Amino acid sequence: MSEITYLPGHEPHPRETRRIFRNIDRAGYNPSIDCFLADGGYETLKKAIQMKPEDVIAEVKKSGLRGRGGAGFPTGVKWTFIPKGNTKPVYLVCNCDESEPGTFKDRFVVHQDPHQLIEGLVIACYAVQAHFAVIYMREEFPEGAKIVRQAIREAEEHGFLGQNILGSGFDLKLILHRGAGAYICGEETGLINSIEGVRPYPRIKPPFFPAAIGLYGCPTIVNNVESLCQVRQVMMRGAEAYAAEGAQRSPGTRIIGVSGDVKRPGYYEIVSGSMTYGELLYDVCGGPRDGRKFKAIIPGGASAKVMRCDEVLKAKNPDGSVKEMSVFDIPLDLDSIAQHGSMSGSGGVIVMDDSRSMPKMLNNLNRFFAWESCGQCTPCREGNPWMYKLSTRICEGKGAPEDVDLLKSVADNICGRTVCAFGEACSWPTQAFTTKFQEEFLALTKPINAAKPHNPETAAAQKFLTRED
Amino acid sequence: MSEKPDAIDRLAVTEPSPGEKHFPKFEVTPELTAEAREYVAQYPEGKEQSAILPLVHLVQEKFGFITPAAVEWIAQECKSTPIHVDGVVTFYPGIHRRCPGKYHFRVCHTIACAMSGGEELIEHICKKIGVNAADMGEIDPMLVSEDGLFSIEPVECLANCGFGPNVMVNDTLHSQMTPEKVDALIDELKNK
Amino acid sequence: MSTQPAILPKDEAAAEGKVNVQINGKWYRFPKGTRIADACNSVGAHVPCFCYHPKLSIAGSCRMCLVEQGMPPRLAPGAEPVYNADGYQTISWMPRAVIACANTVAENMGIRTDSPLTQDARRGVLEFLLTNHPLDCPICDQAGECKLQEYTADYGRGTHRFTEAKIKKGKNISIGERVNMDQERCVLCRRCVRFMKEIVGEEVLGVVGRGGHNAIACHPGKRLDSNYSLNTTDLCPVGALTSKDFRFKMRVWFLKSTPTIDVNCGTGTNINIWTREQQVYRITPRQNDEVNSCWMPDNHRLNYKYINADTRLLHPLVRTDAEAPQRKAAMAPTLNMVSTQISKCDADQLAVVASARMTNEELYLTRQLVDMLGITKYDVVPRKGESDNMLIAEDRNPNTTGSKLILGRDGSGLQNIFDGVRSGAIRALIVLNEDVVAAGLSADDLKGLDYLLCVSHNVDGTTPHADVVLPGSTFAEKYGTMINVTGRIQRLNRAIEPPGKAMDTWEILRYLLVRFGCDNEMITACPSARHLFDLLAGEYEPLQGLTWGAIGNQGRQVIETGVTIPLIEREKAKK
Repeated sequence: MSEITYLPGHEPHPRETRRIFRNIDRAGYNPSIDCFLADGGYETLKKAIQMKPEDVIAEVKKSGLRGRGGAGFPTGVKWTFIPKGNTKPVYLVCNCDESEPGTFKDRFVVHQDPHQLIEGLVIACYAVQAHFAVIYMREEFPEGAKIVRQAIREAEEHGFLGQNILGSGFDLKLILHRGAGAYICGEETGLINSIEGVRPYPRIKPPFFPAAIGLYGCPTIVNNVESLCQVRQVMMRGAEAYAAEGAQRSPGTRIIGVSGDVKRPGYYEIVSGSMTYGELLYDVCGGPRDGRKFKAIIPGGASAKVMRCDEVLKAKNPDGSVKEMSVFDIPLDLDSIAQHGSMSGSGGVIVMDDSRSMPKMLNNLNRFFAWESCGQCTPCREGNPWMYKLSTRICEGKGAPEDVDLLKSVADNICGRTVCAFGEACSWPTQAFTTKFQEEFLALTKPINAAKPHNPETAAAQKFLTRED
Repeated sequence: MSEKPDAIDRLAVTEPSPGEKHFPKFEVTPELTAEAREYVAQYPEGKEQSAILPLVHLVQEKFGFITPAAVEWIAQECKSTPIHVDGVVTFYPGIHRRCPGKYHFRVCHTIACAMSGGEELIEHICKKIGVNAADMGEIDPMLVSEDGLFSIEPVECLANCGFGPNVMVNDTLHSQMTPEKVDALIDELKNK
Repeated sequence: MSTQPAILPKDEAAAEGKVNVQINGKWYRFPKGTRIADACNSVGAHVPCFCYHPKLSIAGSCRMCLVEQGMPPRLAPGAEPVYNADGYQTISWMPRAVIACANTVAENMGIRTDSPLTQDARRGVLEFLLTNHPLDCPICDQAGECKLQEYTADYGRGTHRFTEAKIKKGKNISIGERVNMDQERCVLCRRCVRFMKEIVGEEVLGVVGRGGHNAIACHPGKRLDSNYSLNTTDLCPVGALTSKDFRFKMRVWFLKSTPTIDVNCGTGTNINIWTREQQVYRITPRQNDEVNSCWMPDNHRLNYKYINADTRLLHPLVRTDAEAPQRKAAMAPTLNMVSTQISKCDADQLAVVASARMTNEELYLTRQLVDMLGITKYDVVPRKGESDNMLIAEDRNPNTTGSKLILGRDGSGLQNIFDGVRSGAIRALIVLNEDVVAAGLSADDLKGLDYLLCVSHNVDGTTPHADVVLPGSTFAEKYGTMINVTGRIQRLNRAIEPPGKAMDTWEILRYLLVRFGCDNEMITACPSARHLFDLLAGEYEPLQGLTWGAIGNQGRQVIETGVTIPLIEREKAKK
C-alpha cells in the first residue's frame, strides 16, 4: 500500500486503516473502470463467482460483518432471511440514501470509487441469487448519479454486469434509481415504496419484512453502500482474516464522519474498536478548537442520543467490578456506546463545544425531524411539529419551565408507537437533550410565560375576552 | 354557491415564478417520450409506476419544474393516475412545483452545517440576490430573485457534514462556503 | 413436577382450527387468522380504530389500536415448553405496544387492552390527533357519530397541553358533486383513499404533501364524482368528508335509524333509514356481506326525496265526471265506490298492471284479487338497465323474483296489456304502484278507457288521468319482504307512518278483497303485512317453514337464480 499517494492536504491520518476509502482522495485516481482494474478491481468477483452462492453467504456470515446503515444487523444473517423454497424473483437494493445528519461516507464511495460498490453488489446479488438490483441514490448526489451510471455502463461493457457474468451463467441487471430529497427513503421499506413509485411511507412490519415481502412483493435484500463494499473486503481477504481485525462483535474497518466543533473534522476509516472516542476526537481530529472545551457528542448520526462530555459513566470491568469513565473512554465499535444509552449508528459523530446552546442544537434537530416526517402515522406526524414548535418557543425565551417536561413527554409519546424507527430516531434527541441538559433548557424559560398565549388564535381570543367595553 | 379556489385547485395552479423565462415551457416531444420510455423499460413489466421519479427528474432537468400538465403526462407514461403522481410529487422537497431560478442554491441548515454558519449563509445569499428570507413558505420555502437568475432554498442535510457549510448550486456541491466565496460565485454566475 | 393437564388447551384448540388467546386475563378461542382487533372487540375488550376497516387493506397508520401483547417465552434450542397448571405457557409481555389491526392472533398469545401500557399509548395517540384538529364539534356535522369525539370521551385527557399555533389546511372544499371536505378535521386514516382505489377501482383520491401538511386531495379536474362517492362519508371516522345532501340538516342524535332495504334495483342493498318526526333525513348502507358488503350507490342513497315531497298523495282523488277535475275524497266511501265500480267491469275487459316494486305480501293480495275476479290480463312493469358491475343490478325492480314466484309474471306480458288498452279490448285498468304513462301508454290511450284506478304514493304521469287515485305508501312506510336478484328474501321495515290518509297497498287490497267477499280470515282479519308472510310461507315452496323473524335483518337465501352481484363476487374472490 506504500505506493499509494494521496492528494496534498487529504492524506489519511496515521491511525487510519484505509480499505474502503483506499482510493478516496488518491492522487491520479478517478472513478473510471481502468483505475479500478489497475488496482485489482473485480478480481474478488472473479473468485466469488466460482463459489457456490450458499458458500458466499456462509463466508459473509462467518466474517461477522455487520451492516453499516445504522442498525448494525449481521449482513450474512440478513441474506438468509429469504424464505426457504421461495419461487419469486429475489431483488437486491443498495441503500445509497445517506441522509442521517452527521453521516457522510457513502458520498465518497459513489463519487470517487463507484466500482468497488458495484463489485460488492454483484457478489451480494450472486450470493442471494438476485437478477435485478437497484442502487437507490439520494437526489442530492446528481454528479454521483452520473458517475454511477457511467460505472454501470463500463461494468456492463466489461462483462461484470448483464448476461452470463464472467461466463458463470449468472445474470444481473443493475439500475440506478434516484430519490428526491426525503430522509424517510433511508428506511428500507420507505425506500422500497419509493422505488415502486408510491409515496415512500414505511410499511408495517409485520407483515412487510423486506426479506420476505419487499420490492414488488418479492423477497428483497436492502444493504447499505458501505456494507456492500465490506462484502467485497470479506471476499477479498477471507472471512477469517476479516473477522480477526477489530472488535470481536463488530469486525472490520468503519468509516467515521466527524463534524462540528473539532479542529479537523472529516472522514476517517479506522479499525472498529481500535480507539476510543477520546482518541478519535483528540488525537485524530486534533481536539477542540482553541480556547474551547468539548461539551457534548452525538455519537452516531442525528438520531443517536447525545452524550455529555462531563458525564460520569459506569462500566463493568471483565472481573465484574465497576469502573467510572467518561464518554471519551468508550471504544469506537458498534456496541460499546449502546451500553451507555446511545448508539454508534451510521458512524456520524457530531461534536459540540462549550460555545453551543444545547436547546438551539435540539431545536435544529427537531426542525429536521419535523420537516422529514413522512406523516403516515399519527404520533410522528403530529408529534414532530409539536416538538419543533415547543423547542422553538423555548429557544425564543417564550417557554415556561413546564414546557421542558412537556417536550420530553411528547417525545415519550412518539417513541415506540410509530410504524417505523423514525419514531425512535426523532424522539431520542429530545429525550436525551432535555434530560442531560435540562438546566440549559430551564434557564431559557420563565414561569410567567405559562400564562401567555402561544399562538395568534389564543392571543386573539384572550384579547377579545379581556376587552374593555 | 360559487366555487372559489380551494386546496384542490392549488394543485392545478402553478404559481408564477421569474425563473420561468430561463427554462423552456413544458412540452411533450417525441424525443422526450422516447427518453421517458427508456426509463420505463428499466423496470420489470407491469411496474411502470416505478418510473415516476425518473420521469419527474427528466422533466425537471429539462423544464425546471413540474406542472400539472407534466403530472398528467407522467401518469400516462407510467400507467398511473394523476392524483397518484401528485401524491409522489408533493411528497419530495427535491421536486419543484414552482420554477426555480436559473441557478438554484440549496443551502444546508442541518445541525453540522448550521454550526458552521449555514443559517447565516442563507440570510446572506437572500440579501445578495435581493429576496427576503422572512418570505420563505412553510411548505415550499424556495425564493426566486426578480430576474429569475437565482433561487434559494434551505435544505436538510446534504451528507457532507464535515465540510460545512455546504451549498449546492444546481448539480454542483460547494463545501466550506463563506459569505465571500458565495459572493464571488454569484458574481461569476451573473456575468456568465 | 408436571402438573399440566392431560390434554393441553392448545391441542384442543388446534383440533378446531383455533388458537387460545388470553385477553385481559381471560382465555378465549378464536379461529386462526383472526385479527387481534376483531378478537378483542368480539369479547367486549374494546379496541379503538380509525384506519382499520375490515373491507379495506390494512394501513396500520393511525396507531389508535395499540395494545399490549405477549407471547410465550422464546425457547432456547432443544428446550421443551413448560406448561402451567391451567395448561398454558406463561406469557412474557413485550415492552412495546403493537397494533391490533395488522396482527393476527396466535397460540398462547396474551393481549391487554386495559393495562397502563395500552392506556398510555391510546391517550398519547389521541392527544396527537387532537393537536391540529380544529376542535369544532359544535359546528361539525359528524358530531354524535364521530370516532374522534367518542374516543376523546373514552381516552382523552380532558385538558389540552398543545398551546402552539395549529397547522392550517383547506376547509369547506367541494371535493365532488356530493361530498365536501375539511382537511383540518381529517385524521389521515386514508379509508376514503383505499376505498376508492380498492373497491371502486378509481384512484381519484390521494394524499398529497408531507408530514404535518399531509392532506387528502384529488387531482384538479378529476373530482370525487363516482356514483359511490358518498360511501367515503360513511367511512370517514371524523367530519372531514361530509355529505352535501345531509350536512347541517339534522343532528344525528335526534335521528332514529330503521334497518330496511333499498328498492331501486334488484340487489336490495341493505340500508338504514334515518328519520325524525316522519321525515326521512338520510339513508346509509347497512352491512350485509351477501348483498352489498358495506356500500351503496349514491343515486340510490339519494333517491328518497319523494317520500316527503309535495307531490305525495295524501287523500283519495275521485273524478265523478269525465270533464271535471279530480276531487279529494274520504277513504272508506272511496273504497266502497271503487269496489262497486270494479265489480261492474267485465273481467275479460279488466286488466291489472301491478309492480315488481311491491312487496311479496302486496303481490300475494294482488294475486288473490285477480284470482277472485277471474282477471287473466295482469302483469308487472319490467325495468331493465345496465349493471354498473358493482352493486346496481340490471333489473331495476327490487322484487322481480318475488313477482315471478307469487304472481307468475315478470313483465313480459305488459305490452299485450298495453296493446289491449290501445285497441280498446281492455276497457278498465287497475294500476298498482306504477306509472303506465312512463311505461309507454299515452294520455290519449288512457282517455279511451272506461275506468282507470290508480294506487300510487306520489302524483305521477298516470294519476291525473285516473278516475280514482288511492294514496299508497312508499318503501320507507312499509313492512314486507322482497326477494332480490340472487334469490335472497329480505325484510322491509317501517321507518315512518304513511302521511295523511295514505295507506299501505296491501291494506287497500285487503279492503277491496273484503268488499268482494273474500272469506279467508287470515286475510280479512290480518292486522299487519308481517302476518301475511305466514300465508305466503305456507303456500310457496321456496318459503316453506320460513317466518318473519327467521328472515332477520340479513335475509335468507330462498331461491337459486344463478344471478350474482359483481362487487360481492370480487370480495369473496379476494378472501
